[in-house]
Amino acid sequence: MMLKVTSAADVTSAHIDLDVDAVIIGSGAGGAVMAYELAAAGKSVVVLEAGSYVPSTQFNETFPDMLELLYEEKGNQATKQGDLLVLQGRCLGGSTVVNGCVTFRVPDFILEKWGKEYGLTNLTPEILSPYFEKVERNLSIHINQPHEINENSRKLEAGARALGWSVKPLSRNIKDCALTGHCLSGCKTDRKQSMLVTYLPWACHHGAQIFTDTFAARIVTENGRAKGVQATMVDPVTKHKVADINVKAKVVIAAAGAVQTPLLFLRSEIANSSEQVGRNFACHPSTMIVAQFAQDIFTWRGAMLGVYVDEFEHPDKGGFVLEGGGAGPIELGMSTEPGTGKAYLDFMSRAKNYASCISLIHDHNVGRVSLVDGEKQIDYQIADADFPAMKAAFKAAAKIYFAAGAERVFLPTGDKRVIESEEQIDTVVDGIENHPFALRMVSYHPQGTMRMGSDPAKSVVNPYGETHDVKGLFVCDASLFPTSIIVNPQESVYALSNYIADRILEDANDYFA
Amino acid sequence: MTKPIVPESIQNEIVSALAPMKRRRFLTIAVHGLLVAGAGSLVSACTESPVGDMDAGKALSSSQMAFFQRLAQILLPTDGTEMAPLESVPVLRNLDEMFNGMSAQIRSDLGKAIDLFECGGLVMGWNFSRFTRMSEQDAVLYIDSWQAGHPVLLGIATVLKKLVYAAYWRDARTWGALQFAGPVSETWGLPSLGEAPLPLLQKV
Repeated sequence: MMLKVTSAADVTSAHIDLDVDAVIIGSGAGGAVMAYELAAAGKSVVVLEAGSYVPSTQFNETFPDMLELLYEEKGNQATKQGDLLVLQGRCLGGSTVVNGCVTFRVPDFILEKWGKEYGLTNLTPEILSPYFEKVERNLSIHINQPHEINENSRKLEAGARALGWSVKPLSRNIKDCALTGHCLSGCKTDRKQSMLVTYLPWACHHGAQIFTDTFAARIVTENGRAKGVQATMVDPVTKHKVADINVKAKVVIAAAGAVQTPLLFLRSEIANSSEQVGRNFACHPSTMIVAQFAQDIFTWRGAMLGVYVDEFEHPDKGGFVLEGGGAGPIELGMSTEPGTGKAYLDFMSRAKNYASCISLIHDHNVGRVSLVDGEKQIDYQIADADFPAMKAAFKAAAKIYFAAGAERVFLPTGDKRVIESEEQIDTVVDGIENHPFALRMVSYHPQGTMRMGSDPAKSVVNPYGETHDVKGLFVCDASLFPTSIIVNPQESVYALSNYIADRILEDANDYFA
Repeated sequence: MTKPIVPESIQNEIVSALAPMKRRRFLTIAVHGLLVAGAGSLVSACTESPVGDMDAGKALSSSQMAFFQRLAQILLPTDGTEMAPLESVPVLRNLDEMFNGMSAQIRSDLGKAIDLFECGGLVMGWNFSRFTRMSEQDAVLYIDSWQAGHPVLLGIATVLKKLVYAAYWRDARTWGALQFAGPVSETWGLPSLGEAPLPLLQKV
């Protein structure tokens, strides 16, 4: 199966001019859904993707290789000070190709907050519910069945149950999961229902054109209205420019993600009367807590993510979730600090005995994405106000694992912190201070840099996804979220993108006349 | 927790030197911090003298290759364990390839971090030795002291360790000792499901 795309290798002309109804920048969760919905409604659509088209036949299930092939900056995209990796897909299909398949609807309490504090009274559970139902049908989203919950997740489940805490199977967008555990390296057998095998081919079926290796440099506007995009196609191997691509469009839609979308707007010097473009970055800083058991667990075997502890999900109860997430040797070997030399090899020699879980916190939007000397810069340091949630997540995970019979728990810190018994939990965790490199953090969920809201002075985008400043210019990725949503964002982006597409189509006579 | 062996007075000097600086990247800050703390000439002398006679790689210099060879020996003492012998895994080649794929800015930052780590022992912790010439025991203590020190030192030590670990564990020869199967789809003969069928057009 090969998707019909135009890549750098296909182009012989130095200039390409296109004239379409809609140009979409980015082919991930937001861009692909938007492309399909508009194309299916009969609109001419072009998708511009900065990454390359990597068919799943090239996925080799070796994480470091795939980091270099499929991820932004070969997996090296980090915050300014370097202690938080921001992992995003840079390939056709974007992060949907490399995520762990976990899906959630935006929690109702988050929607309620968005309504009260940001004027998003249109985004009620009742209005969004049909959109969630639709993408759930289209993407085979289902609650994990018993065979999709591996021994690793069963430890988390058993510990939580023993403590009387709420734990549930996760939902995932996957069909006939083969239980390889290699989700983060892309699904070689196309069982993950990523955009590569769903909305993008469906959009193509309805006539959408896709250009990969194509970097959108600027959005073009005229008299306060979006007019198109200037882009450059670059050979992914030589890094040389292959062609200039100018797209004239009646509607421009940014779906490049919470890092690249604000950078595109800043380069274009548009839609920033609120001075909020790039601000309010949040990312669910995520860590991996590792517990040692006497018996074999093989954390990397089976479905990568099985269950989650939602006991503390609401901010009033802690504002964090724990997801039973497996890890291969590479991730395991870098997730904690067991000591140097022999101590490290001793730790790794017990790899099959470890269970691991991922913590996600409901972080405040304290970060910023900006251009400094023309270069991307991500400023983010976990806020002091959010640090207690992080420590509470460690304590809860440790309690769960000891309740499940763990011998010791390794914390995801820069220095060595190992908890040998339940009695030590508070003392060891309370000793962690909030400073750079204190924790080993990763983010798969950048959000919030193009805040959505009803007040043009405090937000970039209106409640229907259109920028306050520029008519016909929309955003449909996770940068819209006014606050972090605490749970994995892909399904929320799918649904919001579909919702925004419908609003565009409702006013088709205005936008596409 | 390991007790820091970097004297607090020197750490404090570095920290106070860092405070007014507004550099973009922490590694740059760290290098300048040490320079301000009076170690500049020693660091400079250290980086100019060759450490070993190893060949340079695509991205790593001769001295950087020698540095990583010694760091890998300290971090991965596989002798007497079931782990794949360090000599059988192309750790240096893998590191060189990883560096080759990084942006020029990241490579430059890491180069400074390597220099600082290699030479820090000349001015800190009473080692009076560059890292690559320390005994195994001193080298382990030196690494642990960085991880128990100022966030900048902690950050550098953590990043260097992660690079070496990634270069080792990414090689399939290291997986057997952990009973990690690696890629399985082809071994298991899993067929691809291909594209999902087109959905029915549905209005919300």
